[in-house]
Amino acid sequence: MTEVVDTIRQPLLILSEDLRVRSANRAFYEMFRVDRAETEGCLIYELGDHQWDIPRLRELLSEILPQRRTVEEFEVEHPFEGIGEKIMLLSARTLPRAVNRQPLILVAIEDVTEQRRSRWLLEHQKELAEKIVDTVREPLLVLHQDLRVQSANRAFYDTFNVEPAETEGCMVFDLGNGQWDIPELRRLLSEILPSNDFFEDFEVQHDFPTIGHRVMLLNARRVDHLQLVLLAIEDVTERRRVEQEREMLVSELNHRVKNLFAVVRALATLGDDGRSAEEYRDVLLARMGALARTHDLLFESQWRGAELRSLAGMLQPFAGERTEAIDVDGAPVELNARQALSVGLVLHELATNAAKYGALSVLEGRVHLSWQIEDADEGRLVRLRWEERGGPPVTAPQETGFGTQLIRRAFGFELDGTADLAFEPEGLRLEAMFPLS
Amino acid sequence: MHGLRVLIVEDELVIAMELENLLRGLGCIVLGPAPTVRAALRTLAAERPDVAVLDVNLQGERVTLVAEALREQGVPFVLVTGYGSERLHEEALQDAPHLRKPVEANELARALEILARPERG
Repeated sequence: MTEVVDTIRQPLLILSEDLRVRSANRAFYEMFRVDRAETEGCLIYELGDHQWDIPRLRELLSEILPQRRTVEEFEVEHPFEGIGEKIMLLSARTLPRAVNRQPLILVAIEDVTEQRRSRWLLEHQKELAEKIVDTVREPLLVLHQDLRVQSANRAFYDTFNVEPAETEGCMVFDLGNGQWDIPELRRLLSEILPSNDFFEDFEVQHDFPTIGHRVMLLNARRVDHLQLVLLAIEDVTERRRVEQEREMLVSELNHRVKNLFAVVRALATLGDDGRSAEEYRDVLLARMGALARTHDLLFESQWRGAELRSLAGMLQPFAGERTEAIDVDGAPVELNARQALSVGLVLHELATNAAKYGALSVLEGRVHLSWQIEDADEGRLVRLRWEERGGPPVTAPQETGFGTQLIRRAFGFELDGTADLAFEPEGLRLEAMFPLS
Repeated sequence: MHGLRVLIVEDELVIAMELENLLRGLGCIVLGPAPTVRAALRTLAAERPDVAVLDVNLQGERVTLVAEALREQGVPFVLVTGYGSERLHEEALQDAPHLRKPVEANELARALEILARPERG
């Protein structure tokens, strides 16, 4: 009997009816680090430092056991001398014996300390994990291995505007309007994930129910020991839009800067018109100035455009002290960047000519700059007029002059419009027209 | 180069005028200049140039259709690009000489000279 009992790994005590230890097995002596001398013959309540002397155990062993014959899993938590804090489960039963023999009680002791500790840890870890999942700002789905939703975090419900009822328990591919039912994603989740453990940055572009068109990036990870799959979803729609916008802006900027260099250079090679070097330089600088000031107007509006009136305002220096010499009349109208640059240069040439040879070269001279907006079938038009009066008698201009060429050609070439430049005896007159959009 | 008929396709008037000046100074005959794809195709329908100078970006439009029409007519062309690292991925724009804005006069002259040589057909 002793050999059998000694083979059993669980600590065992055999007590006599009066609850004294008849014998204990090897496992008992090993676990509690005691020897036979301090064990055999002792009352169970006296063992060690009276760790088993617990009222409830007394109750069980003395009262209930005689009638019921078994006590199952009675828990004792105690710092045992020499072996530390332990949680033990006691089971006791009376052993049937022959009639004339003293009844014996078998007490089995199970050390569940590690078990309990692990379970406690797991519970706390689980709680921590759940709290983490819920605090994370990104939508997270926790899927079972069969890809059914176990749970989703708050961010998920908030982002996709759905309820747990329509999410938990569903196949991930059935969620919403089938937004995740994509062949490539199916493949990744069903095939790649099992062997590869995780994938990142899988892009989904889709018209999601309620929230509309969004671009999402998905990360997925297998959590084997829990038999779960974590799916993290990042809404990068805004980020993408901003990136795209920025790229476009940079592109646009490159284009404009390159063009500007080319235009400035062209201005430098053109329009010398048989002038002296100094005169030519002044003319060039003046043109560059007009270009620069027009750009200033465009910067102010972030390249949206410029008011025609503001472009006209750039001509004031040509009138000098006689502010009434240039009369500007027209409704507010915003030209786009292209139109503004074109018209800006043209107005500069007109004013330069007027100051040199035309109405602005004499005290009595006047320039009337006016415009109207007209409604046509194809859209709105600007009708512009520059009229000089009171200047010196007009003579035929240098036909090949750069300024005159520019004035004549700009509206047709760049603005899809028309221009009629007339050197009338009373003064130069330009009538131009171009569509607004 | 003398008498060479050159089509200019460029959407900035001042730059087009500079090209005109440059080419006329070399003795070329200038066709256009055309600021849009539509205007360029219209000009091509009426006249046949010997060579062409094409600005790749015309008011937001690509010059591809014009390049295709020119290839069909067997007219060689040189491309002028505004962007730094512009990707010329269209088929019609492949294998053509290209220059960056602002275009150097002698660079352009040289490119046109090469294109205009008889063996290029």
